[in-house]
Amino acid sequence: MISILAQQAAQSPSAWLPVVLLIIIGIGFAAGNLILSILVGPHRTGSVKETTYESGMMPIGDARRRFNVRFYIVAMIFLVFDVEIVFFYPWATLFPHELATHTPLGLQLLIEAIVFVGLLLVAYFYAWGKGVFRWD
Amino acid sequence: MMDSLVRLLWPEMVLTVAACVLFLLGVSRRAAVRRLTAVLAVLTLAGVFFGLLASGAGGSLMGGQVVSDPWNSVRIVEFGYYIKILVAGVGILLALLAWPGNRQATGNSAMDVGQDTGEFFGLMLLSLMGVFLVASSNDMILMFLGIELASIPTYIMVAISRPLAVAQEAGVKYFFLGAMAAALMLFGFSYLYGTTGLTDLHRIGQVFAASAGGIGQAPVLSPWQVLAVVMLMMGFAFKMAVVPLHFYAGDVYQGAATPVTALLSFVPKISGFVAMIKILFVVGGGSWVVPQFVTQILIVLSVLTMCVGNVLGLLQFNIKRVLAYSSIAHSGYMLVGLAALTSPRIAGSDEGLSAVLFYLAGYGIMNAAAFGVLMLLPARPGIAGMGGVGAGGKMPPATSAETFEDIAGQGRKHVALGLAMAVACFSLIGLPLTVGFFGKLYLIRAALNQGLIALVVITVINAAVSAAYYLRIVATMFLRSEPQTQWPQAAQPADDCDGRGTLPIKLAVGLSVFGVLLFGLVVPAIELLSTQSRSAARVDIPSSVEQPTASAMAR
Repeated sequence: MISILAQQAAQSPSAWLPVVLLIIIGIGFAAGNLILSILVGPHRTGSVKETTYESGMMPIGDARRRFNVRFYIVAMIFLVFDVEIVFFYPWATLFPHELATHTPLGLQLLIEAIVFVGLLLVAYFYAWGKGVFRWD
Repeated sequence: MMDSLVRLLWPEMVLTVAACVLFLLGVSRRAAVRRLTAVLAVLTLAGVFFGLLASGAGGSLMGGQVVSDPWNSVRIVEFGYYIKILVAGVGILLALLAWPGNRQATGNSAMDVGQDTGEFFGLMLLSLMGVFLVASSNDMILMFLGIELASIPTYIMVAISRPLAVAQEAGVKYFFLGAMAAALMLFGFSYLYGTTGLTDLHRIGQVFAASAGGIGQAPVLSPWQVLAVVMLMMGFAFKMAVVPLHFYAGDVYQGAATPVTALLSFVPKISGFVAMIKILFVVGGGSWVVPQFVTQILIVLSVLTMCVGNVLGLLQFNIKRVLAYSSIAHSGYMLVGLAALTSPRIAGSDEGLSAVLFYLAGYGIMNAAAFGVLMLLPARPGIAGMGGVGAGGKMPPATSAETFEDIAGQGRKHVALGLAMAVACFSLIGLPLTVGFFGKLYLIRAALNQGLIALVVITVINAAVSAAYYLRIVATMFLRSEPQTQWPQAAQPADDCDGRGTLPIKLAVGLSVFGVLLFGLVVPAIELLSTQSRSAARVDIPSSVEQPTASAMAR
């Protein structure tokens, strides 16, 4: 879509109108809600109202707690699979179509996916070998 | 399709597969396996180096042809071929320099045969592969990925190279500043894309060529495109350590272990130069006739870079910092070549580019020699360097020489190392009989032929200024006597120079000194290198020469 926009923008700047509108609506929505709540909303102050809003609960203790460093490693391993999923959604929507039409692109897509999974497996085995999954 | 991709990108593929294997071998519990990773890395690089040499045809590397894939995202011309051979060749030297040595006492897990050896060499191969990708890319996305692939592994290598707080600080600093430079670069690429609607650099060049008034005239850029080009040049300036974005160099080069410093002063720099050259060619619309402002920026950058690099180099106590500022100054010299390339007096002359390509090769070799000698000399604990300083004072001392105190008198003790350092320094100054002399000669000749007299004068003055600190290194090694200090009993360093396991480092120093003298003394060798760099100076076939119908039909 952006490339179409960019090509049209070469001829007329008015093609960027939707983008400008989106920006105006985005800012307008945020600013409008704030202004409305100041104008319309009831104003009751007190010590409770001035505390930090924590999903309606009374805050207990400090938000800055120490996490075990293992959680960071788990989060990084999660990225391996996260990236895999992000790539596989578009791949999975394209692949059956290419197979059905018997284009040579089908085989190529398959090889690409295998190479990709292979690279991710390397990352996975590397993490395994480094002892990421040892939880003690 | 797959077949042509394999044929085009086999060096990249070999390096990627080797890097994966090294990562997997690196987790082995057996030290012998981890030791093997260094051997594998050097063998892979040597295979790629000789494979590329063998696949080139005789005198000229590719006979002037252009090979591209069906989507035109990869275009390999002689320029890219030359860069790949150069990077693989210097990569062998760098891998030998980083050889896991005998310094077990330091607790350094990357440089010893510790837990990080495999990763270290895997990251090194990936970083070199990034430069390969930049050299073959014809697509701005692929080019950006290549530049980042050359840089991101170096952030990790800086941080893991030494178990010292300074190394981690250097790694984090380098990472954040590098991210900022990447953002600048991406901003530039996005404007280039926004104004043309293309990511294919070759076709963007054609769009620019169409905006020129006539053949041999510079393209007319819109304000957004000017902004894009300036941002791209600044982003590349960071990678090249060129002056407005040079500030990280001193700290990062000092914090990293010496072999990583050697890598840092070559690999990101060459990726920046290759990208810059390609973008200049695009901005010129498939020729070197670029808009006036680009040449002016290049001239200003080169003058600033040379002067700042050399003056700050005079003020340093740490030799790695001296070499860091020398690396900045050398970027300035090479920018003189780019300024000559794009200046309009003799339009279409690519003498400046071949000079830059020659200089890149020479700099890679002589730089490896200088860092190699530093690696072989031991550090003295407790003197000005980082010995014993660190978190809680429990950190091991620096393992190789860092300060002028460290190398004082060592040239008399180890004559061969002293002579090697002298050759490297003379070459870095640009004295005759070394490759550095011919590098400067070609750069200055290119600038003179383009009538950039003032720039040449500034370059020569800077070369003279730089002699002061290079000669200080040599003089300290030979003329000063070794300072008499009481070694703490525990910190008595093994004399690294004679220790086992330093043979690969000595080999690297020997090879690079040999290279410096070979390309500086032996006339056929000089001719060979300059012929190669001259034939590699054709970055792409100009868009006016190529038949547009053929590519249109293929699409």
